[in-house]
Amino acid sequence: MDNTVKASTIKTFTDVHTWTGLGAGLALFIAFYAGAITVFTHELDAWDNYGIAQSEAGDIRQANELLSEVIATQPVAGETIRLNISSPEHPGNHVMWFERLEDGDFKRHDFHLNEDGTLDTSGNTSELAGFIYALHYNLGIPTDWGLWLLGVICFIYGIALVSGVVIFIPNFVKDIFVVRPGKNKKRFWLDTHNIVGVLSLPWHIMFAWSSALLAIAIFLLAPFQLTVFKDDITSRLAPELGVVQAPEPSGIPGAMLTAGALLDIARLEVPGLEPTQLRVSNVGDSNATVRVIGKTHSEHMEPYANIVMMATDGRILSVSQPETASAGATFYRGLIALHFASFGGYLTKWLYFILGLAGAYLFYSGNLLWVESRRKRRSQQQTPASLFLARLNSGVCIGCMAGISAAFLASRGLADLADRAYFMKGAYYGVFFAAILWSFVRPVATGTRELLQACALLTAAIPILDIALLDTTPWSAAAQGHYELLTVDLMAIVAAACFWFMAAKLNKRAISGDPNSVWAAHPTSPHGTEATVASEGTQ
Amino acid sequence: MLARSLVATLLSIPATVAVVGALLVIVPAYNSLIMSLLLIAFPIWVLIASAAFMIPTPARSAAALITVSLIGFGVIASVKYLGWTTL
Repeated sequence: MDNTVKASTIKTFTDVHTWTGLGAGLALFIAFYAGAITVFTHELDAWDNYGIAQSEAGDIRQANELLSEVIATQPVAGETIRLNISSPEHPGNHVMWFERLEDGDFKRHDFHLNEDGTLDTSGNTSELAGFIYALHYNLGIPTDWGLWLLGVICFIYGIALVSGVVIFIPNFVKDIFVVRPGKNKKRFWLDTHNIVGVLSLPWHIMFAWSSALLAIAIFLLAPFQLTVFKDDITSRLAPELGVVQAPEPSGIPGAMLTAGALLDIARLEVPGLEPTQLRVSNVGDSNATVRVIGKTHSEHMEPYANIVMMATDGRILSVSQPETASAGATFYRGLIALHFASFGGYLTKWLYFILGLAGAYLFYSGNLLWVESRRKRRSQQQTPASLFLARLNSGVCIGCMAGISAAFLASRGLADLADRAYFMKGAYYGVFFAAILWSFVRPVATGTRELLQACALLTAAIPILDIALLDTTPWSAAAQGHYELLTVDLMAIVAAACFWFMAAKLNKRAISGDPNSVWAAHPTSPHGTEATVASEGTQ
Repeated sequence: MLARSLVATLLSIPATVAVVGALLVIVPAYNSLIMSLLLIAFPIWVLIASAAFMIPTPARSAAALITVSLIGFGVIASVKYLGWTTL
């Protein structure tokens, strides 16, 4: 061993890496797998809406009409509403309002204009992209608890990264980029775990850091507010990021300027601005404010600008844009841009997609390594802990992947239903929890193989359902410039093939691999609970 | 390992606040600089917690983190008492 790191330090950090990996690995698998898909959230949204009557590209005059109609006919006085401006990626003007319910939850309302100029309040049932995005940041745990949990997990993830680097340093030169396939499965998992971890380390550091900021910034700031600052820390720093406190409602009604006039004012402040959204607060009040959010032609990593103004007279309250941002704001915006990959084109998106899947593999393989490390090589009887983690790892990880594929299928198959989103989410949770249950009632190798096969079939059904239900084929859609359908379908086929291949490899190992393993066809726990399924994996 | 982990994760919080807080009161109170220091609080927290594992025993680890915290909060209190910061 290299003398630069003491053996006792390696031992300690190996233990730390173990508990942090076990503590955070499964949650991070879900976050990374869902996150990899979320990189293409706009494209996924387009896929999900394919075949549903699309809004025609609307102009700013129509946006004015839509906004006026919503304010005049809906109970949005004093509330905050968002106008998403028509763009080539998202044709049609669209107003959203999140109504706060009595239980503190929010109900989303969507509004469009029909061709005859009447207000369409039927809403948008397409929530697949949003649901997978939510899985990415809250793991499917409702309310803010999932977000906060993930924030804490980011801290554990950070320690796992540091400890992983420390234990890899002594063998860095010897083991870097070395993969030793063969009978020693632990060696193989370790080598691939190391390669993926080392190659994507800077990206993981950025992700742990930026995710913690996004998830638990309020908790990170609170101790400094208590011990260092006498003034409100957010009111001091918010203007740096272009966030200004909206004036209190006056209670006096006030008519706001038209959307077109507000956008003209915003463009005067930020020349070349391509507005994407108007966010109106205190609707209908003389103190109503408007935040115009849009893309600039800046060469900065985070190209978005925010212009806040009074809605009634266009008086500017705040302008935040990349060109004039302070060093601190640029630092923050840079981290956030790195997290969301908002700085690059499709090459960056594909890179993030691959790195996201690689990250998911890192956590999956980490848990497998733990199981391999504790394998009793001279006994078919494996420890309860090894069996438990092998089952949980298979159930949660494969269950998440299969659940997402099921959500795709439900969203496409039930596209005509008003409760489409409800069934789509139900499909995910149903498959996810069923997979966990399955992994605990079946023998490890058999159950995992069956889950992988089910996952492959669910994923392979995505392009089949597309071809069966849509009035066009993926290749015809691609020929007309709509590549989302073909891309999703091709990716689903590749993913299904990978899942089937993994199932085949697992089956081979169960039959002809080392019998003293949880992955053998007949491992037994100390209580003998799996002895009865001895030959199942060989079928 | 449980004791060491609890010490490292829990006592690293006040130690981080103390270290970053001391930096905040020492450097000029420009909002841009304040924001940058607050942004690096998270990696500093991770590094302090990780460094705590390098100390051989939980007791020594706890003593080291408490010492760092006391020094940091001492600096914050002193600078504030002397009026050398506007924060």
